[in-house]
Amino acid sequence: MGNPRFLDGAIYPFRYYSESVPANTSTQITTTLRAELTALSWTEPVAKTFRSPANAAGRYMDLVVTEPSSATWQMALYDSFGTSICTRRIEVNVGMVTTVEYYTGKAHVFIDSNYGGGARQIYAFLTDPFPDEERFYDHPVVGNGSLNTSSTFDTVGYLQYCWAVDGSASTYAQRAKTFSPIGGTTYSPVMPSGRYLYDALWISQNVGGTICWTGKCIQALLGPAAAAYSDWVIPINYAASATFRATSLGDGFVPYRRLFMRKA
Amino acid sequence: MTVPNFLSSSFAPFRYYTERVTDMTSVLTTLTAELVTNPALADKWTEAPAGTFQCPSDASGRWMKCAFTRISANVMQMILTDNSGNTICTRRASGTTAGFYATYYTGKFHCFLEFMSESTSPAYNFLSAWLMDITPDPLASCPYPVVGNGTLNSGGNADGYGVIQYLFAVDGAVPAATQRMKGSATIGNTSVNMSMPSGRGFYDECLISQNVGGTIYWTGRLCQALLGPGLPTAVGVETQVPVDDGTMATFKATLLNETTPYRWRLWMRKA
Repeated sequence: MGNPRFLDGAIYPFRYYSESVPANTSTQITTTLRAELTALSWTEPVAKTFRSPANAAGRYMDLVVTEPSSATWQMALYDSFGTSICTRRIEVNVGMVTTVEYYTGKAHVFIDSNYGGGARQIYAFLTDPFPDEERFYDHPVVGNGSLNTSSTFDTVGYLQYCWAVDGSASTYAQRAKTFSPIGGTTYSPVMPSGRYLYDALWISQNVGGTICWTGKCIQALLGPAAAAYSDWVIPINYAASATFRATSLGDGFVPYRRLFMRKA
Repeated sequence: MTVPNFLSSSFAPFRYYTERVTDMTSVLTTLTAELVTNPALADKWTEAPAGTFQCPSDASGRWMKCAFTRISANVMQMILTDNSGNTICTRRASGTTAGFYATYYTGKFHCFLEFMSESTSPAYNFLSAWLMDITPDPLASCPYPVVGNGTLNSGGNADGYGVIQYLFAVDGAVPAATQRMKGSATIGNTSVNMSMPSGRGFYDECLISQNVGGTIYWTGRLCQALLGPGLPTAVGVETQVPVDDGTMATFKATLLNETTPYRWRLWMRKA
């Protein structure tokens, strides 16, 4: 047997790239992202509109990217029906060199921008519903970013929030599955030996009036609030491990969790 | 991907049996068969004295003991102890005097009994005991891996603990009932139904939390058990659940759910 579908590199190939982006060159993000996505069979039907490969049900996502200023980068995310999921921004550089990390794949884009004084993230996923089949759900596109279209951090940019279609319209909500007992307090994902627990980043959405689990984010794991920008070798089944990187995307709740993205 | 230990039929072999009974004496007889007589040699529990069953030790030498006592024809009591001498809980479960259905989900590291009355609006009671699996953590890192519960307290009364979110286990050094089972909620605690867009149920491991040395950790998983959808799924419904990406197993909806709105239910391995 292989790895879980959402972590299977044969089904969901992935790439990782990191670079130093000079100050006031947000266009560099677009240039690098184009190179990364082209290598993963994304298309660019219109300049600066990147379209993911379709899933088994023909669903895909479109990322329409722009550079509102030399220091900000914007992604407008759409699903295959043309529904606007969200339009979000990151600060790429604020008068200083920025380290930008690109986690990309057939069904995901996650950009982590560390500009020294802080960190911003922007992302899009076409989620995997296994063991459900893709044909059962029309709205598997989710995304978010640290800043709104006024380039303001509006507190929506935490890990627990993301934008997705609820019913028929896209909205942000607390969608990420976590570690908490039924009716109880949330606990850190840690076992007595000190070993960390990781789980798929399951997303919840309102489907026909019922909030249910609709899919997993690709090549991503929910884990503890370990140090950002460090690599972690994590078991992905009982016989294999993979390297994930602790991103700067965390939540705003004690005991704090963090998103880990597949690096290798 | 291999099947995780807590669902592996070689690591945690399991059995299933159901019957109609009119007296708990029959339940004790069947427990002997299901725990002691019928399992493979390496998976047999021992029984001494009659009605007191001890499971095989895990790789770290821990075990649990379930002492069953027939209180009356339709009431059974279980005293659950661990290898450290802790009494984890004393709980009871009741059938009906006219007769009831007893279902036995048993295995090397678990014993889950449910009694369902014969009625147009049947009543359900249960007794449960598990020696948890903490793999891939070292087994010894969880010093007290025995958990259990039952519908009624030792006085035969419902005390509010006989629902899925509560389990008795050692916290620190003292056994207590608390909300231990990982649920189905988002960061920020929005509860989410155990379902998927197609209507398929969503199933997850039964991951248990305990206080170890003053810190609450996730200390293990219940063997051959899953947290799955509650209402409107009826008790007794069977479903196929992937236990990895390519292996299916049959789980059955037990009576054990939570308080309103009954989103979650315990599903036990049948085949």
